[in-house]
Amino acid sequence: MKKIRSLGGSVGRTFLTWKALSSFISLIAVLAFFYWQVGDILFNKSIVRGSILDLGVNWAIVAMPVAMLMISGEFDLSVGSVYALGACGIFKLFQVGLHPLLAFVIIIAACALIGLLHASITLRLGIPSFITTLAGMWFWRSVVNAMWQYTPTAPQSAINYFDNVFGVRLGGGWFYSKFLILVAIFAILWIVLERTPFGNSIFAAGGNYDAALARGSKPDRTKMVLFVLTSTLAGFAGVVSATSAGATMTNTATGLELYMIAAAVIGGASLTGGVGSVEGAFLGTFLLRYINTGVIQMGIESKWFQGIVGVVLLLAAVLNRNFRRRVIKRFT
Amino acid sequence: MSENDLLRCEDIHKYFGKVHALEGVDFDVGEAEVVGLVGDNGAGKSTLIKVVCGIFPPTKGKLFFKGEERHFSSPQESLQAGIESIQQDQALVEEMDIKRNFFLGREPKNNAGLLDVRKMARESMNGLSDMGLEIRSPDVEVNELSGGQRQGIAIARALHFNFDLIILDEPTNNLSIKESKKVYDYIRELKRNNLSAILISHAIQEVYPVSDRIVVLRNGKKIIDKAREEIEMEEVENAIIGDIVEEGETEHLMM
Ligand SMILES: Nc1ncnc2c1ncn2[C@@H]1O[C@H](COP(=O)(O)OP(=O)(O)O)[C@@H](O)[C@H]1O
Ligand SMILES: [Mg+2]
Repeated sequence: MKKIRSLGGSVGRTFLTWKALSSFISLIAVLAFFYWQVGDILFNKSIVRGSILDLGVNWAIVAMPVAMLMISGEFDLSVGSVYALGACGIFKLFQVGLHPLLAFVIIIAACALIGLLHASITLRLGIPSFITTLAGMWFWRSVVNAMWQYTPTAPQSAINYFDNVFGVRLGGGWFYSKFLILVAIFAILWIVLERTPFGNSIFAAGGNYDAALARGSKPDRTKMVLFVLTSTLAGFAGVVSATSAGATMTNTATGLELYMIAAAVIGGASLTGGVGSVEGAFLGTFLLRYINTGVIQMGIESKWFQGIVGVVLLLAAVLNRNFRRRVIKRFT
Repeated sequence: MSENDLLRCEDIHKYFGKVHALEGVDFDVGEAEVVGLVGDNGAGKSTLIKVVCGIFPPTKGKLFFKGEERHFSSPQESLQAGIESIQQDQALVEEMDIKRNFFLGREPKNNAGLLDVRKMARESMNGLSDMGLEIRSPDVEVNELSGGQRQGIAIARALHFNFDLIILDEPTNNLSIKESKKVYDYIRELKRNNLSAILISHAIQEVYPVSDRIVVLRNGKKIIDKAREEIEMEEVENAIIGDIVEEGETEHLMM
């Protein structure tokens, strides 16, 4: 009995001190609100698969590394443009007639190199990543606009090659197979952040750069890896998006970078680094998807999406700052 | 300067642009010796220490550690050689919990190659209680702890990993008298273990009680280097401010 109670206590404590608790609470609150407003319409198969998960998977693949980068004390505002480069770029290589796999490898490598470039400029020249990647956001978007017409096309056979991997309906039609890829990426990134020495160096790099340096935890190398990871996954998400939708546009994912930062912040990340979580960014992304879908279902004009995101972002930030501090004081 | 010095710095110069922060400083630390390094703000104490632990190289001068000439090019190299330094604001990551701070940069791995969180929790708590520091859980974030507890963790961490020389930059800065006393206890603990230490402070009262030798820097020059028994606290205090020791006198005070 005592054992059970102490187990219950430790589970409860783990839950209450969970870094992503406020994003979890926010998600529940938003779901409850929409349930109250529009009933179970948001929870049927086609909405969950099509409106929530489809775009949600593409977004979450980007939001998680963005959160890790923010924990290390850096930003990446270029993810929307790199996503577009991945999406339009792979279509271009399909057009040229490359084998789909070769096209994939080339695009992913290119996006990794872009991350390396951002990292080098930021870390070698000491330019804040906010500036470096803001420049990157505009530059890579221009590259996309200059190289392709508004709606790039690609041979259906090449698209199918990937759609057969990413776009298979599974789970009785509740989700596409790419959701499993997201789950795999989530698991890997969670372990990396929470259960490896490298993860420890991520928190240290953003929490106290000088201390990280003095302890030999190599904060610059850590940031470099994260810039590359973020760009690579942004490009990958673009590829997933274009091939599973079968279409893309040169202005796809415009403004994505700020939603990714919002997802990370809702998930407990701070703009000053040192805190945050992978699962928080994951939950934060789906929170955004639910708000997006919910306002449309409510029949209020979708213009209100951004307004509500703003309010939720603020609430989550307040929760993270005040509520979490108090809970931790009581329960650790 | 004896043959078996642990650390020996010879004629260290450091320029920051045109600022001559260190003007030919000779500085040494013996085995199992605690040296109090004092001087007014801006005297060059931190700069000297940063040269010693490889944060930046000296403009000129030589550095010997355990009898070998060394050129540390990063804090990691000096750490590996056996120099632990606890710098102001550079010791701990506030948002991280105790166990993660304790093993930062030297994280243990389990069989699966992942972070051995259990070992980190167990050994960090053992390290703290060995020093008489009781904290309720290894999961407590550092920003919840007092200044004295933080110094305690940093010193316990240093003790856990073997080192030969520990450098404490203003270890009792911002601490209450009670907490400062605790830190002195930790330092005496170091001495009992025959370890060497450099204690840095702008106030002689902070280091005089526990130092074996007192070194005074002023405007980038060493003006006093004496065993504690050979010098009164007042004399050091005046030297720091610059009332008694005049330019001509500095020569014979250097040894
Ligand atoms: N990174 C730096 N760049 C330029 N000047 C510096 C730097 N670090 C220290 N100084 C200068 O060197 C002198 C000695 O500083 P410091 O070693 O920090 O003194 P202390 O630690 O004794 O207070 C001061 O004049 C300070 O302004
Ligand atoms: Mg100083």
